[in-house]
Amino acid sequence: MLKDITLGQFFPGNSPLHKMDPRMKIIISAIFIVAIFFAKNIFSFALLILFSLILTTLSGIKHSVILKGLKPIVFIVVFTAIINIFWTKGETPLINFGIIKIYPEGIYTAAFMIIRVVSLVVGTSLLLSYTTSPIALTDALERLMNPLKKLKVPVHEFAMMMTIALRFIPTLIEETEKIMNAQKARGADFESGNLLNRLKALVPILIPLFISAFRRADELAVAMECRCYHGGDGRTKMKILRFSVFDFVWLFVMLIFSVSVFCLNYIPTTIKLSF
Amino acid sequence: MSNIVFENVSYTYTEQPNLSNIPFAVKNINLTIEKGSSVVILGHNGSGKSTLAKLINGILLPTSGKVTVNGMDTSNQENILEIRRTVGMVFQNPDNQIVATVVEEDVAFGPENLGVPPHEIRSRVEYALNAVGMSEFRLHAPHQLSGGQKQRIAIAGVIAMKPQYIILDESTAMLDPYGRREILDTAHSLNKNENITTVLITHYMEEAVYADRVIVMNDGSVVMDGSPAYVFSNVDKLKAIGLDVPQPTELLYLLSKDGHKLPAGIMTVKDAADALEKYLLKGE
Repeated sequence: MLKDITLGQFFPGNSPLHKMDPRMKIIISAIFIVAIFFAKNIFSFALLILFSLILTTLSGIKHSVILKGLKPIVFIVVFTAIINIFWTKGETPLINFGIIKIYPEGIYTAAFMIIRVVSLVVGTSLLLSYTTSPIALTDALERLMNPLKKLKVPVHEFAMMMTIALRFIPTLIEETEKIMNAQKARGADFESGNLLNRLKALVPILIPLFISAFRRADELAVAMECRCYHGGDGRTKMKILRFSVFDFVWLFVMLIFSVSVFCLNYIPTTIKLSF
Repeated sequence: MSNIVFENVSYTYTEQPNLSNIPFAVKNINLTIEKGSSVVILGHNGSGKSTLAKLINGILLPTSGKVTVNGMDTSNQENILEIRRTVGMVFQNPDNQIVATVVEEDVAFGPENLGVPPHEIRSRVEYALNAVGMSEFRLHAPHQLSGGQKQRIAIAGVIAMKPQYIILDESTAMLDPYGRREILDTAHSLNKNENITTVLITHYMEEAVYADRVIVMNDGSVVMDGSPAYVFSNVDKLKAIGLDVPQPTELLYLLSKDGHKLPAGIMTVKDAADALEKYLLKGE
């Protein structure tokens, strides 16, 4: 049951987004994030929505999946929207209930904030998590950060740690299940009692899990040594990443998008924002 | 000089070597493993057989004595990468030796560490996966595979380094009978078809039957060394150190103890049946 959870929510596919070089995806995501925070008026926000919609269509990911991905941020979005609505001051109030004054500026600010956060989450998860396997992402990060090696940043070591962590998540989940069953068979009770009791019940799961994880780490280290692992020096990679023309088209599109967002901000509008 | 040589090797896990009564994991081992042979090392838990394996590729260094692989001394740090490339090692738990999240990436791990050029890694990975019959699983995640399949991936990872020797250190201990069969067949075919020396470390007697040579260890020493037929004809001696013999051997042994004149050292059901038939026909 626990074994079936998807890691990092990757959905294999063959869309133009899937085919993009993972390094280019990281670069493009970074540009996208910057563009989002440059958007300041209704036109640039409209472009933002348009671009997010285009990305969604191109990715071939189901809309229900994307909406599901937005669930965890619903609370924070609603909460900040409400704060914006009630606390933003403008010139003429729309509704006036004595203490509570709602200005049109507050509503605009809230709406733009929602667009901003939603397109941020949709854009980056489409580019990075839904269409890129965790291993490709790790690999891309390692390659992008390669120049940092000159500054003695242990780039390879971090990437290796990430890979091993990803590799062992399903193994450790399976192990947790086994330990839980073993403890249940001995009469352990994880489902009843107050919070404190339930937390206490976790101890007999965590201790064996940690001990076994350390033992695994030990064995894995020996096995890696046996396969001639000696750090990142002199290491080659089987997979060669090459930017294609197509990747540069994406970069070009992204740059045009950001510049447009930036320019659209200068179109005068009657709506005034408080940021 | 293509062989593995143990010269008077002793090893202790204790860190106070000036104790008067040091518990040695292995002591005074003299052994030569020739290239191309298939060797089985038998022994029950704590007999020193795994220590012996780790001494071969320099994971452990001898407390005294010398281990050489193709003439390279394991205690010389400069040799260690070449030794580990030459002597591949597969361990007991398949989960704890797979590094990557995709099968082909894991097989590529060894050659990547050795700095092999990318296109050659690709062809080595294909070759290795083929040799263990796992080509169709190249893009699977390791946790989707069975124990026997994972262990075959681990073997492929070793083969991709183009070793001359492969040591399987209790690699079948955690597998079901079917998985065990898979691994033994793979090891057998590597020895016969790829001319890789295989060293199987095990406590399953049946695995020793098809080897060229069986080494029996007890208490850190080699107590028997010879062909399977020779080793299994000494049933008394094996039983004395707590080891079993294959069932057909046991049957013939019990019968001959009762006064029937049957040959010793028979290991397979077919041979045992033939011997019994011959004996019964003669007796009539």
